Amino acid sequence: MTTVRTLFNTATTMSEGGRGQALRRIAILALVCVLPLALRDYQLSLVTTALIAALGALALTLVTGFVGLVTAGNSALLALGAYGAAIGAVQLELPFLVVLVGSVLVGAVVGLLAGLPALRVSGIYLAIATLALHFILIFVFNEYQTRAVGSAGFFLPTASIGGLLIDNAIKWYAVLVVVVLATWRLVENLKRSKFGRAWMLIRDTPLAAASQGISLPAYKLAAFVVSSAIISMSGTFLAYFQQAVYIENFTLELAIQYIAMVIIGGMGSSGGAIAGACFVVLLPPMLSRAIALLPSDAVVAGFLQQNLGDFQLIIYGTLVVVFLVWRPDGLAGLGQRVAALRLPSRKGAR
Amino acid sequence: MNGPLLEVRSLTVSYGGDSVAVDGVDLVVREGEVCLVLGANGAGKTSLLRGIGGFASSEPGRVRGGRVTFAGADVTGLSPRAMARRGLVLVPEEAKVFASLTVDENLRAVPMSGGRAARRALVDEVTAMFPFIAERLSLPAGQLSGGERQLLGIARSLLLKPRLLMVDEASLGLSPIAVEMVFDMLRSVVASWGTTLLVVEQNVRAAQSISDNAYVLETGSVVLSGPAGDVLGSERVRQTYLGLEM
Amino acid sequence: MLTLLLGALTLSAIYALVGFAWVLLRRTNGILNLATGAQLAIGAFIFNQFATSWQLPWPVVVLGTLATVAALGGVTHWVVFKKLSGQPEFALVVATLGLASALKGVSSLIWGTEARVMREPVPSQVVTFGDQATTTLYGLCGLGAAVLVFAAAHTFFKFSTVGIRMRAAAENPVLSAQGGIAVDWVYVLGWAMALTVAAIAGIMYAYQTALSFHGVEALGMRGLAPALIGGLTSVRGVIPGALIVGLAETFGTKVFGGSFQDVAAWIVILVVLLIRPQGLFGDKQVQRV
Repeated sequence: MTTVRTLFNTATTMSEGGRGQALRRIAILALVCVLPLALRDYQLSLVTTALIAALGALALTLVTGFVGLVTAGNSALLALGAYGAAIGAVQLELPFLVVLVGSVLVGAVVGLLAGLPALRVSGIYLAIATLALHFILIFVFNEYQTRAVGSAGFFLPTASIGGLLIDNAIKWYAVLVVVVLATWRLVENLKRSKFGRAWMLIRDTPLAAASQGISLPAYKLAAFVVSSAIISMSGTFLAYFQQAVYIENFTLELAIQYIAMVIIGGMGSSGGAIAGACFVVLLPPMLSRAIALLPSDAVVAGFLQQNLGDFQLIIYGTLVVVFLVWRPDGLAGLGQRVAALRLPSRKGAR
Repeated sequence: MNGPLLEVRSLTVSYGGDSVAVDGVDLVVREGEVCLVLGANGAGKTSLLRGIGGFASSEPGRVRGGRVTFAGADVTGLSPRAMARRGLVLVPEEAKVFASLTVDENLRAVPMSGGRAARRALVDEVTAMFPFIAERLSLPAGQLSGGERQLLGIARSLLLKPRLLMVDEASLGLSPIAVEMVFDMLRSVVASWGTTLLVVEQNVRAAQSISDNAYVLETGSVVLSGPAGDVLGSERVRQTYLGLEM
Repeated sequence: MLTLLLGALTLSAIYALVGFAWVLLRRTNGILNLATGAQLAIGAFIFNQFATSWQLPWPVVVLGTLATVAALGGVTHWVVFKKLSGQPEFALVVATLGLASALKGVSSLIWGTEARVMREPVPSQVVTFGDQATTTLYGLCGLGAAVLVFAAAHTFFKFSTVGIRMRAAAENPVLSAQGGIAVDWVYVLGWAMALTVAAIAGIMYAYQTALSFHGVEALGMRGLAPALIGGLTSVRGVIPGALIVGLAETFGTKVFGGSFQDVAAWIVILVVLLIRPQGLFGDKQVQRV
């Protein structure tokens, strides 16, 4: 059985060929351009939702994939960005871009405050601190929402950039494609930087990292702060995109969904994180469609349709465990394996 | 001469990655003999013993190649527990006892075989061999001296009725008097129990008195082997391992 | 005032039980089990299935619940965590999160999400001490259960051979295996015991409030607070930890209102992380890596 540890080692030693890289870029670009032409509005906004989730998954890859830390605070940080948007847009009537920058900053600060005490000790204390962060932030936002507007939540104005309203599916799609690609670039660059190398050393051999004079708490904290800022930003995007913010959305199960994206996609692979996000977001509507194909009088179909939410929880949870046990390299690893089968001459996946 | 109890053929041990800690080691220990493994730090002595005695699935170490035959059966890659139950028992180098448990609890934690009376008799026999045990029964093992900890580790392993006892660096960190005490004990175990011993040791002077055969390891491979007297008398060993002491 | 203190005490008893479940798994199996909340709720729902839905006689209810929950614990080790042995710690924690999600889905699928009232062996009643101090019968039952569990655990770990082997395996699993101890069965037992105690806590809590997945799960998660105060691996440290959390929650709710119940324990956790992350009453120092 391949363990996470050995997998990481092979993943880090593997370098992608320059030609393959270029080909992949062209393929991605083509896909990005074709999608809005091929899809209907509803489908396109599903893709946009997946893109917003991909932001969070990319951020989580940084923390869980590169450094090997568990955080349960994804949902709370999303809520932070979303409520930041609600306060900024509704209460303070600030423009979209200002709110966006604000949520990045607030996310970073909250990440710093939550990570600082926990990461002094050891990795798993971050899981504890972020759990506390989750329950406290959700409590605070809930109280705030109840006092400000009541249980229905906030309704947000249409986002606009420099006077241009982002008011339809294609515009949202375009904005988020740019943001996701930029974030992807950022994460990939970080992975190759001095930080990235230190992070992976910390993850694989913490003692060796410490003996090389790498300050473990500082590097872990840096990863968590950057990641918190990105997740908070994606929360703001989510709020403006849905034009609504209410507390019931931000559950611990949502935080687990984000972890599922990273695990299913393949830990430590940013491309895998995006694939994982698409998988997790698009699974429910696809399941729904699949169930609709069943004969409508079947008892099973009704039962499945009614309990879709429960099945989601079961599927995500089970997939997390199954991927951890059988395929710690996730979809990214599966993809590499398939690619290796197709192109036996290329030396790649092992 | 007795037949081989332990037969190791081209054993290779690695801790993940491409590097190996033990690289194709051959080694034979005959029933009733005392076999000594020498080598500098990092030569792969501990890895050799761990490779023979088995790795837990939670550890990164794995037997990558070769064959370990014990008492006629192939035991390559079995778990440490399976090895212990077959009578292949290791007293490890680092933690030999459970520091948070009392001396008594350290002994009680050993799952012994046989009926109640037989178990009782064995415990009595072993405690009689180690007089300090009776005096320190309720003391946490973490508070014992280094020599006592070593002896308690040996006592625990004796409760498993070992056919082959592997002792890793018994003298490490002990005072000369404690080293003498430990080796006296090993000598009497061999004499009265007929236990076969495989000993890894850097303190050559302490070990040479009880050894029959010796192997010298360097960077994971055997570079010299033979009767203990010949090996320890060789130029190579005298220079590298005895030079500082004599 | 006395009533309030009594309330804090009975609440602390529940927290002590939950904290025990957290600490036992952390110490014996080396896992920070973030599925504790879901497992607490599942345990209570299994009990409810035997007691309320099937209306079985009480001895059958108790034995059936114990057997089911313990078996569930064993399965958890063999099916999931045995396969993950040797993987880095964070992978284990992530797996518990996956488990939490799956368990919640299963529970919701079988039992729904509405709050339920459980069948009671004896009618609930108010117990009065002296002039004004009052508490409920089931509050006292919870207190009794906690005392019983801690006394039983103390006896088990101190005097029984199996208990001693569990402590040995907790300290050093590799040395235990080399000494012939069946470490996998220790882990199975660790899961079974933790889930059983968690179920007891969930049941006692449900009798004092109501049985709802969300309520019992949230309690289970908050039980991390007493465990953390005790240093995550000290069973004894859980008791002062539970008292602190019980008092903080009782008086916090009194001062700030009912919804403060949801966050009191988490604020305690943040404070502990700030001042002494290795716990206020821990046995050992945590490794700094």
